[in-house]
Amino acid sequence: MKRFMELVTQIKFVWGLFFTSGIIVYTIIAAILGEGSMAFTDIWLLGALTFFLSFVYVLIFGEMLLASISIKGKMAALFVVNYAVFLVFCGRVGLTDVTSLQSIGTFTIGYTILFFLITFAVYNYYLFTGEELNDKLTAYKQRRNMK
Amino acid sequence: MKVNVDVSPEHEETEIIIKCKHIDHELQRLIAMLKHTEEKIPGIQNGATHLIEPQDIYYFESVDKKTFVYTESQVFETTLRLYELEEKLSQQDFFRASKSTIINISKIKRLSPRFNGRLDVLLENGEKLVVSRQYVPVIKGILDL
Repeated sequence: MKRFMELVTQIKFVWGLFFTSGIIVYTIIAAILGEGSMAFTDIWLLGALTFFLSFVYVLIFGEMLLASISIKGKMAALFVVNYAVFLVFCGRVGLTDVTSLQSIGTFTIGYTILFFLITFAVYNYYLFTGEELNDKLTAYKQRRNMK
Repeated sequence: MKVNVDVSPEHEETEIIIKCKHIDHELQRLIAMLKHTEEKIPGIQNGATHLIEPQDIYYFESVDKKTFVYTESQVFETTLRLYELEEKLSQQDFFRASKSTIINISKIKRLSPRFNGRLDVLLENGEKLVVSRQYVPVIKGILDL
């Protein structure tokens, strides 16, 4: 029961982030393509897909399962699952024509760039917060040694 | 110096009372020695009890209602519970990292945040531990973050 509740908390946290990010990305791309609104069914679909993604994400990164896989392996798995989910979503809402190879190619390039940009941003965020923590740790140790 | 030892089952706690006219150098040394012994952590290994200096301890871990003391390369069992150790070492560099571990901050080599809100801890001896989300604010508070 305890592990289940931990899993639920993690999924809720990640789902919130993914859904918000999905809406922001959709809004930007739709605005570029000249769309002015979003159907309720698309919001539900995005909700369902981001929930599925959150579940997959927690399975890959949540350390409850697949803990032994390397970070590169986990990122590769996330890349593939994300790709499939976003392709389904973009096909469903009409942003990508899944019957056209050219459209899928454009989607793939766009998705790959976006994935690596987000990964780079997240990596840098954790690098920065990690450095800040370790600077504070060094300062703490120096203070204790001086006493 | 007279030494009286009063052994009785009525005494619930071991107490040392020193009666003197004034505190001289020898007495100061004795008091320091007694206090120093009090700060050490008793650890059992192969049936023998060792008194371990807190600064030699990397972390404590509770497994199946037993508490273990980890130094650089050795593991001892102790009769003390985690909450007792937390109380005893509250003035030193130890902090509660999860429900089952207490870590010595001075033995942490590196801290790395995770996406799920936890912190990875790399100790000076290469061991890896985790600070659970619930206790991350504790270490951040200690480090003034």
